[in-house]
Amino acid sequence: MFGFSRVTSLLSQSKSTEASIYTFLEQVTLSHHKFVQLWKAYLRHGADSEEFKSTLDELQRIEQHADNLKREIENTLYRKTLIPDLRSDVASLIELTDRLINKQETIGLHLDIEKPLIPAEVEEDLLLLLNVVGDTIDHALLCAKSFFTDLQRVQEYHKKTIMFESDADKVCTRAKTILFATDQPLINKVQLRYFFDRIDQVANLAEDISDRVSIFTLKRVQ
Amino acid sequence: MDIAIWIFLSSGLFLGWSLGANDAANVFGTAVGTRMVKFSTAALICSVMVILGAVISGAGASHTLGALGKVSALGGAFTVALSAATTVYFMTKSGLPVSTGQAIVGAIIGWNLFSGMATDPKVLSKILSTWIMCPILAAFTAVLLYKLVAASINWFRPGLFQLDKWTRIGLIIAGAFGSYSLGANNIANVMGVFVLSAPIDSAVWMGIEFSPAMQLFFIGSVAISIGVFTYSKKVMLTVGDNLIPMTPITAWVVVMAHSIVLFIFSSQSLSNSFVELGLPAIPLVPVSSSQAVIGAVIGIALLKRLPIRWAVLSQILMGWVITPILSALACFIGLFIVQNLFNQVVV
Repeated sequence: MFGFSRVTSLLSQSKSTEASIYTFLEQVTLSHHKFVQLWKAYLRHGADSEEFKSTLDELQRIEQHADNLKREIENTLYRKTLIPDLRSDVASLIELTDRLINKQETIGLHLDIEKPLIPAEVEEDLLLLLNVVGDTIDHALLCAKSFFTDLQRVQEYHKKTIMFESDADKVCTRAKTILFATDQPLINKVQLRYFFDRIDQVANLAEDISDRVSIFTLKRVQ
Repeated sequence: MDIAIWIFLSSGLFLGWSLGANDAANVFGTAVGTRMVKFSTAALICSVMVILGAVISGAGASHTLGALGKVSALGGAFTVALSAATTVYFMTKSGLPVSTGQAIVGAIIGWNLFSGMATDPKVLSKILSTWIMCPILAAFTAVLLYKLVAASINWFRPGLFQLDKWTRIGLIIAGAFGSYSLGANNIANVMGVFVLSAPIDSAVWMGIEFSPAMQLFFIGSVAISIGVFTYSKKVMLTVGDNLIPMTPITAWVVVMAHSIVLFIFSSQSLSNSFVELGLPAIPLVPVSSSQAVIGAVIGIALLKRLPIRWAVLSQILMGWVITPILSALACFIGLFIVQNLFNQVVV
């Protein structure tokens, strides 16, 4: 009975796609973990150290894996006509989340290429900024996961994401203020300012994801 | 079976084919249109269930139609079915929504007028009242079902993919139930007029006796199934979003409400249990599945305060009024031609 075998295949496909989406979202957590490690390795041992190089390699591998998962998920959603009324929302959510990992990888590569000089006065705020950005990402991911599992928690995580993103902005501004108060050459300050801004942009992107999920949720509960 | 009988039955088979092509869309249209269920799966389930519904429970609604006009000559039955089928065909061709039930009732009244037989006002009013009751009942059922589904989702809080999975299963089950009800309720439209006139003997197959009506219903339901496979895909892909935007869950509610209403108007045992409880018997009348679907859609639209495309709705209502009149007229003219030009006994 070809019709029924199609139905069962469709149902099992829906389960495996759901699992792929969660694996994809895990890559964002992993990528941020590696991103923080990368900065720590840079601060302690410099861009030419073995620790920095291997961490950057791992970050790139995570990015590649996430890209493959993204393609697989989008492909299955459209090929198998899963969640037909929401698949474009889910696909755009995956696309946006993928950009989060790409951004971290790009910052890592620029760190390797540009090797900016980081004055000791800003190190603490830099690590704090990375932590707050991590919190923003974590809550944006919780918000995204809730969209798939429990709609009623979406708004709660969305609000927390907004709060952490605003904290990230504050830490970033403070770090830049301290940076420009140091006696480093202006060229170094401007270069490092770009890095602070890029890290802050990761938090902005996480907030964008959370915003988008919140709108998708409103659409779903209508 | 004699070849002559097949020729006479051909108009009924044509009507069955057009019913399959049009009304399968009411059962599986939203599921296929929203891409939740593949057409081949829908067509297979629909065909099997229509046949089962027609053969097992088709008799109830057929009796009422028989009471409206006792078409006893095969030539008359042929013309009645042909004029109904032609009306359905032309209405569909001009893009007007049409009900096979209304077409056949109109044609029977046309036969009554031609043959000089009186149309029983009691039976006619019973049929007309169900035409009004059907969409209203469907609207109430849809509102109730929608509230029930919304409450269940709030209570169980299923995940996105889990909900998608359950909606798919629900759409298939509702579609199967809807197809069974469609077969049970609407087979009377297709083959009802031939029950009195077709000279078919009872047959025994695998120890089960099949009455002439059952055999006619089987042949008619096969014609419906062919209509489903050959022509309904196009209709299925265009139905659904015409009146209000549909989500898979509203699609399920609509199909389920439609199926329940059709089942109510065709189930002899349900009617009997009503009587046993001291309630009035349910009129077993072939109702329009399109009317049931439209009633359900309007029910949801009113509940969710969605904008209804009134222009489309008024066009649909116009179709409901025009169909029986046009069909009665076509039947009257058709009977005149068949009797005088082809020298066939029609009364």
